[in-house]
Amino acid sequence: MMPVLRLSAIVLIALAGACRETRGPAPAAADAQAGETVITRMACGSCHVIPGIEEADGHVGPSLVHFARRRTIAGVLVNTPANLAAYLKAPQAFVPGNVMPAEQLTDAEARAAAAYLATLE
Amino acid sequence: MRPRWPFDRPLLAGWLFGLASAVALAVAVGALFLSGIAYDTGADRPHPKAVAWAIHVTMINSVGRRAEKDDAPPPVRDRASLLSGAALYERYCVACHGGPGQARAPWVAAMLPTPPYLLDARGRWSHAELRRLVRNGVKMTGMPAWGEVLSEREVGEVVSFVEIMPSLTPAAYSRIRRSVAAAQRAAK
Repeated sequence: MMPVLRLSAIVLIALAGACRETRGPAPAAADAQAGETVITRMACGSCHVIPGIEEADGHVGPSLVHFARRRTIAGVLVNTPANLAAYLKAPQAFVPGNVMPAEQLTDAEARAAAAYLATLE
Repeated sequence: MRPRWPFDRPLLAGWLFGLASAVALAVAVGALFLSGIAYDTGADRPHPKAVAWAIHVTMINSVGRRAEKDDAPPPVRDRASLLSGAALYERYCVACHGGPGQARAPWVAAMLPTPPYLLDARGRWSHAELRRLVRNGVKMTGMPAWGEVLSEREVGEVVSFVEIMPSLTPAAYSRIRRSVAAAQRAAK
């Protein structure tokens, strides 16, 4: 009896895992989609060119075209999603005198915005 | 027996039928919108991209066309006018539009369409267009018609300040904010 139970438990766990994978887009894609809204809300496009964002044609800061291929963030950080999320929350902490303001981002919002920019190959 | 009007004229009958269908369709679509079924006026999600694009293009053209006829005075660049513009900006604009190194008020990100930062305003709009945007406002965006509150001279001052704003470092802008705030306290 026990082996049968154990087997069915394994099968159930595997099924649950499969269900989670098939439900909705993958986590990274969902984050990127949320990031699109965050970037719109935070008016990033006032100052940056950002592909896929409506009216994002600003020329105050650097263009974010091909951002995923960029080596550095603002010339001071290695371009990783974690570094970018930290930078977005406090641009002036990394670049003193930075004209880029610190919009109040939650950790999830910063991660989402970083996930979107990571899709810009 | 001959068919009765308009069926004795197949082209006219077809045209009338087409017209009636078009009217019926327009009424049905209109009813879908007016009843609130087809359109969510909530600001928690942005406009669909095509709608956002259409509204934005309409605004750009509407502002441009009307600004041409405004015969606006030239920008003012003297120190007193720019300081007056800075004081007006501090009082009426900074909460929604931010400044160099200065974020907008935290609740502004909850507005869709969201108010833009203005450091690139001069690249996007002419002086006359900026005056029109400030003076006449923009429907359905939360941008008030400041011409109802300010004189044309004040509109010119605040626009001129916005135009020189990109040349201010965050530190210089903070200094201006502090001196403007001190002057406003002293005036009370």
